[in-house]
Amino acid sequence: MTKEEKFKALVSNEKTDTLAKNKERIKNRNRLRESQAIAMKVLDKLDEPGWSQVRLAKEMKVSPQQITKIVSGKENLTLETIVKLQEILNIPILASYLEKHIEIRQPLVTILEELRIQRAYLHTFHKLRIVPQITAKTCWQNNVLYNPKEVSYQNYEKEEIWHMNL
Amino acid sequence: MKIVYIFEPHLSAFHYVDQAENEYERLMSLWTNVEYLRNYARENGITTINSFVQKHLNDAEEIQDLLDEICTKNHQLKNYFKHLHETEIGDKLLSFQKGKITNNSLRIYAIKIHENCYVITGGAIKMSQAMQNHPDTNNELKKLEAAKAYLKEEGIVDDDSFYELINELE
Repeated sequence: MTKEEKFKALVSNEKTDTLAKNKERIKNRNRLRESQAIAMKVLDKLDEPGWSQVRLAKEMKVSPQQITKIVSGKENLTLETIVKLQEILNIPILASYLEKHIEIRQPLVTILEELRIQRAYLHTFHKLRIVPQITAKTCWQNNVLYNPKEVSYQNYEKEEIWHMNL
Repeated sequence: MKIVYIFEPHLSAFHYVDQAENEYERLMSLWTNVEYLRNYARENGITTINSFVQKHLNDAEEIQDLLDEICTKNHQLKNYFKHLHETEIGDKLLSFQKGKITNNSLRIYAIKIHENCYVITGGAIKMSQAMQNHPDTNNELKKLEAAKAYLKEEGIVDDDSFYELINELE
């Protein structure tokens, strides 16, 4: 008996569906990516003080096992579940969430203009080696878009910036 | 412990008694699980957790695509599996192999039975240069050795292997 034959004899007769599952993952890739992105947002929120998977399960009126499935990023979520997650956790999942929040604040054109001014200040600050730090709260109060990648934290009111005579 | 075919007769995988799935399936379940990857990043002191998770989700997709391509187009598995020890030349008896894609840090480990025939023994997220330097990859090394011992015990050698055995002893 050759090595090949011996090995063939050693392998179980059991049929696996591994290849089929692999194809299924590829076929459903776009949907899976969305589920994964939602799971990441949910887990980010659950890291905040006071939140836990148990609390989320209670508020959503589902089992903790259901939450485990959601945060695995594999579940094909219903629209109902997505809306519940968005409302209970107050996280943006659907485009409607952003549209609603931008509409309440101010037209997009104004926001972009504010952002352009903010960037100009940041550039000047950088030159002078001052680190302007703007919190999400300050941005909200001043109707400026908050982008944590661009700024770090400390309060500078708009008036204070103007009076710095940069 | 049993061995099951994933892609007969070229690719098979160990299915260990304490696991619900064969090794490829088990790993793919973990590597596509956002919560698992996030916890793994935390346990390993990663600070950019979401980037770590996203990278490994992408890496898992790459492996899925490659496996599908190999099986659909009947490509040679040697395009994916390389010698575990890069200094190894030629084919030793039941040689240790690692699945390798450029810039992909997910590793599938296997034993080469003969030309274009491999059995997967496990896999891990590569977190250190040497396998011994991380508990997960170190454990995979032990699994490779145990699998090799099992295959030898089951007599997965033939007359040709005599020469391979001599090479290995050398």
